[in-house]
Amino acid sequence: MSALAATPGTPGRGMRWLALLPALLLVTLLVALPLVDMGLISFKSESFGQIQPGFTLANYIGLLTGAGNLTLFVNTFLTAAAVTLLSALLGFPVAAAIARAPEKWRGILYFLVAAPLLVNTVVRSYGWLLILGRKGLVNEALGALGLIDAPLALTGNYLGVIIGGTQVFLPFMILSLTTSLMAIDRRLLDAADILGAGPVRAFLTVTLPLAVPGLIAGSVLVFSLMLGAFVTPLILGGTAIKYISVAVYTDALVLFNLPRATAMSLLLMVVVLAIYFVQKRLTRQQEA
Amino acid sequence: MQTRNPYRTLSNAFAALVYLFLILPLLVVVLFSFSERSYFSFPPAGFSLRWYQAAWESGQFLVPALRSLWLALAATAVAAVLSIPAALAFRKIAPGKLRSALEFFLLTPLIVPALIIGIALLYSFNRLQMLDTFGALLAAHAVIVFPFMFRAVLTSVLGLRQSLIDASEILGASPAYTLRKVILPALIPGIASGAIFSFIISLDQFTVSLFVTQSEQIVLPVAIYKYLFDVNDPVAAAVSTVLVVFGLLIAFVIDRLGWLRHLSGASA
Repeated sequence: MSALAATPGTPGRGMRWLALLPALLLVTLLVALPLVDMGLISFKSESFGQIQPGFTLANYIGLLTGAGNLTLFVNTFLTAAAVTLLSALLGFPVAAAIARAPEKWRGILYFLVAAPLLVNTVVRSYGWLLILGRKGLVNEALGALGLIDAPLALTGNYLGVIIGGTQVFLPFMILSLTTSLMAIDRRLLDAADILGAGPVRAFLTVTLPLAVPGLIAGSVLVFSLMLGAFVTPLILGGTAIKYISVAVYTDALVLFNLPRATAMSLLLMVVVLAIYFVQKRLTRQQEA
Repeated sequence: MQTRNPYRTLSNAFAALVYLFLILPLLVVVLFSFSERSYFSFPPAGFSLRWYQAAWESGQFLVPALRSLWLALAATAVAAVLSIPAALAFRKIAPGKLRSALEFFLLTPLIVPALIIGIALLYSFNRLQMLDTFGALLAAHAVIVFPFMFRAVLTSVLGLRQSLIDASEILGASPAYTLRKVILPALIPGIASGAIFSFIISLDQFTVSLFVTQSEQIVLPVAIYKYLFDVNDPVAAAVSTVLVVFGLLIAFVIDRLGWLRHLSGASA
């Protein structure tokens, strides 16, 4: 191990790989190989919970052509898109407030955004269950005001998932937008002001275009996190909704249809990885 | 200092509502945990600590909680032991395709959704007859937190000043001595920041834990989830409140250390 610290020129090539080996083994044994294994299962068929010999494309064909499965993918994407859009709309004013806040306030404003990220996701989703449930805060309040006769269905559907998902991932959007907004040269806004642009025009021609990198980075992050999210859809949507992660869970642990569950997982993974590479490319272009 | 801008006032008022939206679920959980009634009511009725007592006495949470803590510590330690040599080796690999590919590979546990890692591990551990063992749980958590530790240590390693290392060597220090007295001390901040994030990621990890355990080895978030769907009285809120306080405390510590900004790339 000590040769790692050696200056260039000392024989270190072998040691370099030896030092990398444990980490490479960890990821190979616990992620790469299980994923390959899982990939193989997705080309098998099953009957009564037993994996059958021989390979087939039936799982993928079924997933990509069945009408019910198409809704599964479409609804998952639309839900993630809704969460992303809501995060951008809710996140922008907060990021703007943080960016223009005086130094002494900025710390606490930033803290209040980031702190919820460190609270367990199960607990946060449970909080939404208490707020949105049949006898939850919202229904009780609306009932007490006489606005509704029967409780509104706010959980066990997409609405609950979108609300909960937005709260869970919104901090990432705000943190990303704040970075962009803080980098804006204040003199540009002063110039816009001096040149007679009103607040709306200054926002549309200066602030918004300069916030686009943060907006894109935040959106990509929130969208891909939400696509793969499991806790919030499970707790606030449950099996009543069509969501890929919940369907994978149901197929694997309730219906014991591992081939279908793994095929669905791999399709999801391909999408998430594609988003990751597009985002990598985008950030590299920005840096260049 | 600034001209009065009605849009700005409006935007700030809206931002205040968004803050409420962010904090509300935590607030509701905490309020519910002190409720006297077993069902939700607003405004909260009375003040009682009996749900905390019930949570303690039920014995359903203490063991999972201790297991979660021990698991987070052990997974963080494993990740640190593997990350430090790997990150130091990266220093000797010239930036380029190979290094990017290696980095991507080592970060895959962070890029691939936890759900997919969970199901892949379910299948693999099942064949090895390792489901519902602490070993499986530790292996799963170690690989999940590894990227967070590795990234933090790598940032420190790439920021190492070669001149310090050269100086140490010129002054006659052996490579082992340089590693111990120059390199490792310079990595402490990276390791510490990686450790605190690894710890919290492990504590938060629900999905993979749910897949690789059944009943013997469940962790705290899974215990809360199971309780929610069996009973759903304020006992779950009492246990959750402990986690809210714990999370906020860690947030406070991270903030004091100036690491809050590192959160922006964390996975949920």
